[in-house]
Amino acid sequence: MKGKVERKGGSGSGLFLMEMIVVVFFFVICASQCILAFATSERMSRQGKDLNQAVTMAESIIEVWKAEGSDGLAGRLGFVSESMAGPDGSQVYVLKLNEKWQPADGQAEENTRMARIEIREESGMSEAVVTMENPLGLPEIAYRKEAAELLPDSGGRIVFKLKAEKYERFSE
Amino acid sequence: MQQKREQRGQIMGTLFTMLLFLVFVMCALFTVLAGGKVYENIGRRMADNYTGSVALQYIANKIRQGDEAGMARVIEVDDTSVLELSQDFESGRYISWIYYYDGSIRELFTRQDSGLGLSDGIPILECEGLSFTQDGRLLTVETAGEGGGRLLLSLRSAGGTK
Repeated sequence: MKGKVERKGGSGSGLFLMEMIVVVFFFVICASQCILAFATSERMSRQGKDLNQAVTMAESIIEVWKAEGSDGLAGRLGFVSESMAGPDGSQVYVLKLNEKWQPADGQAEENTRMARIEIREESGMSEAVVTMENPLGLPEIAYRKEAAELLPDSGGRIVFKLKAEKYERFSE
Repeated sequence: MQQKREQRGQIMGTLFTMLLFLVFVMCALFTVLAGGKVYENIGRRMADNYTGSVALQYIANKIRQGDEAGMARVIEVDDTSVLELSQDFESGRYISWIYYYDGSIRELFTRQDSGLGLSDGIPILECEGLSFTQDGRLLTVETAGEGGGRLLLSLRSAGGTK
């Protein structure tokens, strides 16, 4: 009789163990979903901050170009002219940026963020396209889904593109 | 002997269960801590965006609204750089001052000769610092602090006088 009672006690502990395993298993599934959500929100927040900084810098570049043209881009921000002309014979200038999307002041490494401006002039009208680019091999901040569809050729590298136009003043 | 073995088995079972429970508690704690950290990061970035972007865009819009010849300029009032945007109404000239004072960006809209000062402006948003510099047509707006940013604006009116 005594043996029977003891065996019953042991089977209760086993049941409790089974219950614990089921609970832990359930918890692991929930926790993995939570951690996935945390990681996604962290990445989205980082992308949002990146985009904000890139947009602000792109706006500044366009404003400098509108006020002072390509001389201002070189003098104020440190843009360097690329030897190869862009498509449609446009003049291309590039600027290395740091991780806050600010001019890197010459101390940047090879693989950095870049701002590229393509300037094209046609019958008194000047058009500039500023492209804010991520360095190669930085896939965690590459754009996906709708944002990537807007920039199909970028392969996730282009963060933001801004186009502006202005009339050039002709000296008489 | 048999009883002893059963007792040991029971202790081991309980111990294992307790250990499993401990792992459960530790994982729950870790998940909550990770969530808290992510929430903190997102909150910090939102605050950074607020000072680095919202403040700059607000000021940029104000400048674009009031960008008339001789009506937008940067002045110094009590060692504080102030952006002054003027507007002419029938009753006289009114000015909008945008500046940093006492932990926030403030705006003061008043008659030019009202005699009101920096402390009379309405706080718009909290910030760690704000400065304006003007060089010809280019106006630089800079916010200070962790999420601070810089925006260059070209004055369409060329910053001339009216």
